[in-house]
Amino acid sequence: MRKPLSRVSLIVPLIVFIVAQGPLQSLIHSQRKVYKLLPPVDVLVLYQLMPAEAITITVIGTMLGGFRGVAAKMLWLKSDEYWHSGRWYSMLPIMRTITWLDPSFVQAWDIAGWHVAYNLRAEAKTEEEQDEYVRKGCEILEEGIRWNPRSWELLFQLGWTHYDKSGNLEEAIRWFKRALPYEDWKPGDLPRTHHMIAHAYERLPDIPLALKTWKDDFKYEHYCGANKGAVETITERYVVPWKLMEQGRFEEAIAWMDRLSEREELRHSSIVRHVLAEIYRRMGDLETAQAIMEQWSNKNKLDAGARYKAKLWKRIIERKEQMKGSLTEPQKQP
Amino acid sequence: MRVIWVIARNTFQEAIRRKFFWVVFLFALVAIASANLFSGIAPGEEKKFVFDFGLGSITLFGMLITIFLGATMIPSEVDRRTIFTILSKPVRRWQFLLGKFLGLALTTLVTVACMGILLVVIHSYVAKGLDVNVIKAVALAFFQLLIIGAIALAASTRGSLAFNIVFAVLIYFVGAQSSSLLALAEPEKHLAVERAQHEEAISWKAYVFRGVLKTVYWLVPHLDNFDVRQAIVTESVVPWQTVINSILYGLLYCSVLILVAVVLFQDQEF
Amino acid sequence: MGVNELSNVSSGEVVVELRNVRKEYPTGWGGTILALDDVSFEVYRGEIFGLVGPNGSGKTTTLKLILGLIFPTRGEIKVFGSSPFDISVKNRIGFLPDGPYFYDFLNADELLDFYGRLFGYSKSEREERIELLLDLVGMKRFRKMPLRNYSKGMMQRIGLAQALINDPDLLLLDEPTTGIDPIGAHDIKQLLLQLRQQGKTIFLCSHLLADVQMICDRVVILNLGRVIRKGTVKELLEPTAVTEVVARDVSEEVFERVRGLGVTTERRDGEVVFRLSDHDRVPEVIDAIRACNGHITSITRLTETLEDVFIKAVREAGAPEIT
Repeated sequence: MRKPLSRVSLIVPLIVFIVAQGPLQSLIHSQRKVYKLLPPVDVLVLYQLMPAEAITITVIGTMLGGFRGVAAKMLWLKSDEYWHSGRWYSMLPIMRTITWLDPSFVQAWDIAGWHVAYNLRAEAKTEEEQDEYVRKGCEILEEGIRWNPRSWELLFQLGWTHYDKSGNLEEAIRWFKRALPYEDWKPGDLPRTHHMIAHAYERLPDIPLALKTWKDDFKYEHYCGANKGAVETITERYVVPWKLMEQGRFEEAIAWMDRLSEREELRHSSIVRHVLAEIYRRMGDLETAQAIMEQWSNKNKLDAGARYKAKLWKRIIERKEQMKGSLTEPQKQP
Repeated sequence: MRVIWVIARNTFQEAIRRKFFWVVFLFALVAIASANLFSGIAPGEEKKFVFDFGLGSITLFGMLITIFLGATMIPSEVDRRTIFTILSKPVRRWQFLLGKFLGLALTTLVTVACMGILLVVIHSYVAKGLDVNVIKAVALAFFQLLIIGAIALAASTRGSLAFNIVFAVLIYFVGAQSSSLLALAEPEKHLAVERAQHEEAISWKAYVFRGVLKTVYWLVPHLDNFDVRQAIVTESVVPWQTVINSILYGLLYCSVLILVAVVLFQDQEF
Repeated sequence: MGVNELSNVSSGEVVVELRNVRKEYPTGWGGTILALDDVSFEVYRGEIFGLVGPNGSGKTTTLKLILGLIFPTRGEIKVFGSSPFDISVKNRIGFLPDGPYFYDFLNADELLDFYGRLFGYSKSEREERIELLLDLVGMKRFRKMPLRNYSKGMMQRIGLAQALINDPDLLLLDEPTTGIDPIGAHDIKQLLLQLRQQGKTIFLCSHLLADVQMICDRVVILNLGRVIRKGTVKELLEPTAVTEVVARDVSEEVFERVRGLGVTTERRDGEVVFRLSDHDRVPEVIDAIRACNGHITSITRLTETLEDVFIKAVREAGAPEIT
């Protein structure tokens, strides 16, 4: 007796499905990509990084569907435990998992970036390794910012990491400035950002902009009086040599700066060295500028900007010499 | 159509007269209602937490209800032999199955709608305003559950009860990660690694592995199509076009599943 | 003696027909179990047909085949001249499964309403049918009680009501009187006879052979998936009929002479019992007893019960045990 429907006929709808599914799925996928609906952290990186514990929690969290955020918070407590037991390197993958589970977890990005750029950097043996950790820390923060573009905390933290650790002051200023529009955080965050921009300009250095930033800061007078002092000292110390330098009167500017650096209260001033080096640089004496920064960074380990400049300029000098060498070398047969 | 509707109505009636249903349903409502109380573990992110936790509850409890009802529907009819009396009436097998599925969909719809309304109310209270994203997310969650229900129902025309439940849960887990499957199958497209460098490293085993992953990817439901929580995180608006496309995908997947189930059911012996 | 005279309602029109039906169930390990082997029989319009057999003989399998719930491996099944998968056939069928169990979250009214909707009856039609059927099966008092609180007998009654919801021409009943008290069982039997009077065909599977003997017109005995006896109840029982003549004061000489006629004899409490399967010889025996001034106490015509026939047939066919 006949059997009502053959299973072979199933092939037809299945083919229709697979054919129809392809374009629809790629459409959905591309839309989700554009509107940032895809999971943030690359799963492949994650699988390589994940410790067993994190996998378990992730699996449970995902199985619970919407409880990813809750799972992230559970992992957060776990990472705190690691922190206290000194398992610093194990914290990283956990943090990574947390940010994957819940990319909106600003604190996790913040702490992860800080942990890498500060703690792990401090543990590193060689200078190259240290730089690598700082770079990684900044990357983490940048990724966090991609998912939380309006987070003052992350933007400020990235600016601060550049100012304080990588020494790339231009980057620092860029990120501090991006943090500015988001003033609806804790009181004091905005003037703090402002001050950091001014400090970064002082070391960049760009004295007129530093001065302008400090003056702009007057509207936050109610919070902090530091700006008035800063305006006074900058006007007194650096406005004149900066003008001289801009007029091309480099010797006079250098003489002014030398007098400044002999002052007792300025023996530890970074700004004096940055401005002096800048005058030499603009004069075209990059070697002296580099030497000043190198010397200063050896003396004051905390001035990341000086170290950054010393390294950068050293590379430029070396490059120049190589080019010179290659130019003076006798041409080989074609 | 009449017969399908009669069976759907009966299925819905049965579902909402079950103790199991009410226990889970009430628990879910309590969980969603108390989301705001738990939001203290995420200071400054209460809005996000309420949304995340609420949607999570809808998915989890909705899944419990849908999988359990979907997986038990046909086996319990067979075990209790109620299916004998129905199929000896002028009811075609596909009508019976479709009616069961519609009944399941109706139950899920009512459940999700109730939970969703509660979530929208609480979220609006916490966020001090209505967020359309929440409504979109709840709507998408319904279609996600519908696929899972259809899988449980389709599997239940053949497998045993325990198998069906485990199967549906596993599919849910894999499906929710389907874009990761694709990323694993095509790492060069998703990783910032030099393409050439990668191809060198690929062995035949890797090819097989990728083939299997891709096959699985094209077979499992892409449940992460229905996950729009990222938009709440990035505070962007989920476009209607994406919502509609995902729903279309859900309907397509369900239709195929039901079709497969109908064919399997057609020559089932009781 | 039952009401087993051949029904004169029977018209000779075939309602259910099985021809050389074989059914194998897969065991799941590549093998098969044979449930029915070369089964053929017909059920005629207007009769009460009994399908009897020990457990596992294939009764329920046969029923499921007729209902289109399972597919025959070989052979042909016709219901009202069509395939059992023909949906229009279902409009004329009513079915009561063995140990019926219905949606226990409903009450009797809701359940019958649900089945009525499946047939597409209007609201008023359903209400009318439900009213009538609840009365017929004596369940009016319990119509609002959830089925989960029903006893087995109540379930059986409501099952009968749902089988009758569409006023079917063919009623298929699997063990309809099992688990019902004697009064209830009697009611059901009366109801079946009444339905036959209305021209319905009733297909009955049962263990309760006394009931089958009492109400069925024709019987098929199944054993191990094979038909081992079939015919009207009369046809099955008649060959076993004997006439028993009991007498007193029979002389030795007559006793020996009668015994010589090939009659079974027995002495009992000073009386002599003669059993004759050849009814034509009864006058001869009576004459002999009279001739020696013996007194005849009783002359009775005896048949075996269906149960005796059944047990004998099954034993002959080599069944393991009847449970």
